Amino acid sequence: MPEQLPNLPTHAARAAWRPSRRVLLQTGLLGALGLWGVSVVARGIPSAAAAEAGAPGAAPVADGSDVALAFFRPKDRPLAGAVVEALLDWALPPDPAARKEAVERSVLGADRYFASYTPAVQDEARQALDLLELAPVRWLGGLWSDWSVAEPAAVNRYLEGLRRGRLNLSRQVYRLLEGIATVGWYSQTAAWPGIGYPGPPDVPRPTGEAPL
Amino acid sequence: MSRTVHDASALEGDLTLDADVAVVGTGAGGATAAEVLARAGLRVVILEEGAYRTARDFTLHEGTASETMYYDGGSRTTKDGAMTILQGRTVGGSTTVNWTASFRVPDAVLEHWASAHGVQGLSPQELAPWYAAAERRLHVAPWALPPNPNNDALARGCKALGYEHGVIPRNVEGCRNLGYCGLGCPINAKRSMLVTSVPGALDAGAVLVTRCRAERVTLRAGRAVGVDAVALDTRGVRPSGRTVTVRARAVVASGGGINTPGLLLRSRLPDPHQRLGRRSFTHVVNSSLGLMPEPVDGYMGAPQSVHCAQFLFRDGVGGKAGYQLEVAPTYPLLSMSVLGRAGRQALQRWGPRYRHFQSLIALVRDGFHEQSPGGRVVLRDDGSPVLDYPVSDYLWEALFDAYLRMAEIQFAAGASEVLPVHTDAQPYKSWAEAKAGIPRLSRRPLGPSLFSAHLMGGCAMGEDASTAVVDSHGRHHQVEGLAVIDGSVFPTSLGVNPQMTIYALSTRNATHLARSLGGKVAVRHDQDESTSHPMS
Repeated sequence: MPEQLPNLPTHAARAAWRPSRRVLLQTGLLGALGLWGVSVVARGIPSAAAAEAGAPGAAPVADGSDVALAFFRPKDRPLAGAVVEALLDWALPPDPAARKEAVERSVLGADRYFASYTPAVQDEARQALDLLELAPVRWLGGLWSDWSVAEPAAVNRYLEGLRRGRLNLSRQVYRLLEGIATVGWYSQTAAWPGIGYPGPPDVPRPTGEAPL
Repeated sequence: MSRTVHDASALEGDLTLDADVAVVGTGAGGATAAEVLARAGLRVVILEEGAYRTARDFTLHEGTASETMYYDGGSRTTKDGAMTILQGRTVGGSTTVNWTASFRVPDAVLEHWASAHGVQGLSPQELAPWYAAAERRLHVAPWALPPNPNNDALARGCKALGYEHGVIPRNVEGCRNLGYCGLGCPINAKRSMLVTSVPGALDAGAVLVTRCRAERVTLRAGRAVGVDAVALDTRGVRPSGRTVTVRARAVVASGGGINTPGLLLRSRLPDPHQRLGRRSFTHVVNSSLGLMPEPVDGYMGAPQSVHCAQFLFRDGVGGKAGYQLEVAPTYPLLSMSVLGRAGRQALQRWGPRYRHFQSLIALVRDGFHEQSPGGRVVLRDDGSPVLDYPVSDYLWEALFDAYLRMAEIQFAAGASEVLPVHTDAQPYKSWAEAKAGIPRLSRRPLGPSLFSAHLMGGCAMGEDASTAVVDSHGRHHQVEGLAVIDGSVFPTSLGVNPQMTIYALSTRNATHLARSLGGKVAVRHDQDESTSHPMS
C-alpha cells in the first residue's frame, strides 16, 4: 500500500498545515479515490478481518464493557464515537463524563439500527468501515490522527471532504457515517430535549396475549 | 376462533405445510388476497418476512419502530445509494406504517394502461366498484378535522399562490389525531391490513408464518407447486438454519415492488422476453424544509391531510413529468438524519429550531414517457434484490421544478428560511434568493436527497406476453398456478399514494383466482368481470 501513496507532509509540516477549502475538496476526492482503490485491492480481506474481530452473525462480542455488539466490531468503536462527537458536539452534554456516556449510547443505538439491515447491506457497510479504519485511507482524506484521538474539528473537515466528494462512493460513505451519529443519538430519549421534541404521547395501548 | 400463527424464528425443526394457496407477503396485496382466498374456503398459508407486531408493541419510539418494522431500518436504498426507500417489513407490510393517504388513481392513468400497455378490464368504470368496496371496508373518508400546522402551511401557501389543493382521504376510524401513523397506530384506529384483512384471513382459517423469507417458487412440470422459504433469526434478518416449505396448488407473490421481482428472479422462471424486474417504478420524492416563525410540531396530528395536484398532469399523461405535493411528518430521527445530509453546520444551526420545521415533499410520477422507463430489480451475489434506479434528465426536470414550487409555497406560507434537501444547498432567506439559487444546484447522484415510499412495477401486467410478466388478472404469462397480486403489476407508477389501488385491484384479482381454484366467493363486485372474463 504505502508505495501507492502521494508524499505526505512531515510531522512538523502537518502540525502547521491549515488546509484551504480547495485543498479539502481535493483531499476529499483523493480520499474517495483511495477508498475505491483500496476496495478493489482489499476485496475479500474484510471478511478475514471481520472473522478475527468478531464476525457478523457470530456470537455477540463483548468489548470489556459487557455490552454485546450486533453490527459493529469492537475495533469500530473509536471511529463511530469520533463521528458522533464531531457532528453532534453542539448537541451532546458538555460535562465530559456525561458526554462520554452519551457517545457510547449513541454508538450502541446505531449498532442496533444497522443490525436490522439486510445481510448484504451490512456487509457493504462493514467493508466501508474497514477501509476508513486503514491509516493510509485516513491520511488520504487529510485526517492524520488515529480515530481514537482525532479532534472533532479535524474529523469534521474529513467528513465535509467526504460529503462534498466528487465520487458517489465518497458521498455514500458520508451518509453512512452521518447515520451513525444522527440515528444513534436521536433514537435516545436523552437527545430529545435538545431539539424541543417532547417525545411521543402516552397512550393506553391494548394489552393481553391475543395478537390484536 | 383460534388463529394459527407460527413465529419461524422460534422453530425447533423444519416446518412443512400443505395448502391450496401459498401467499408471500402480508401487505396491501398479500393480506387482501389471503383474506379473499381463505373466505372462499381455500386453505391458505401466508409467509411474512417481518414479525407480528401489534398495537401493544407500538411504543411510538422512532428508533425501535424503525429497527423492527422497516426494511433496513427505513434506510433501504437503490443500488447507487441515491434514493432512500421507506418500506414496511412487518405483518401488514407498509400499510402498518404508512401515513394513511387513500387516493383513487386518476382516470387518465387507467386509460393510459389500456391504450399503451394492453391492460384489459380495468377501465375507471370497471375498477370503481372494487375501490368502493375497499373504501367501505377501510373506512376511507376525507379528513374532517382541521389540518395540522404542517399541512396547513401547504394549504396556506397554495391558496396565496392560487394553486389548487384538496383534502386527503384517510383510512381511519376513531382516529385521535395523534400523528404517529408512521410508527404503527397505537390505538388501532388506522384501518391497515394489520387490523382488517390479516385477522380476517386468520379467522377464515389461513395459517400465518412470520420471520420467514421466501427464497423461491417451486415448480413441477412448469407449474407453481409451492414455496421454499428460510426461517429467520429474532431480528428477522439472518437465516436461522431452519427451513419452511409450503406445498400448494397455487402461489401468490405479494412482496411488493422490489421483493416480488426478486423472488421471481431467484426462482429462475421462464422469462423469454426479459421483462421480469424491468420497468420498476417509484414515485421519486424530493423535499424542502421550511422554518416557520411559530412552532409547527409536524410530528403531531394527521401526518398527511392536504395535497396539491396542480403540477401532476399539467401537460397530460404523456407530457412533461409531473408531481403531487404533500407534506411529510417531522419525526425526530427522520428529520435530523435528513438534515445531517446538509452537513454539521446545518445540524447545529437548524437542529435547535426543530419544532419549527415545515416539511414539503414532491412525488414525481414515473413511467408515462419514453424517457421515463423507471429502474430495474437485480439480484446481489447472495440473491437479495436491489433496485437499480438511474434518474433521467426527464425526471430531474420535474424534481428541480418541484424544489422551486416547494420553496415558493413555503415562503408564501410565511417561512423565514427554506432549505431544499440537497447536499450542496444552503438555506435561502427569500423566494427571490431560492429562485436564483435552486437551478444552480447539482443533479449528480447523492446531491439531491431522494426518497420513495411507493414501489410499483417490475412484474408489469398486460395481455401481451412479449411486454408484460402477468396478464390483467395477475396470472403469470408463462407459469401456470402463479399469480402476482401487489403493486408490482402496475405498468407505470400512479401519481398518487398507491394503497387504495393495490387493495382494489388485489380484491378483484384474488376473487378471480379463488373462483378458478374452485373457491366459493360470496357477494363480490364483479358484475363487469363476469362478462369479460367468464369462469370455468
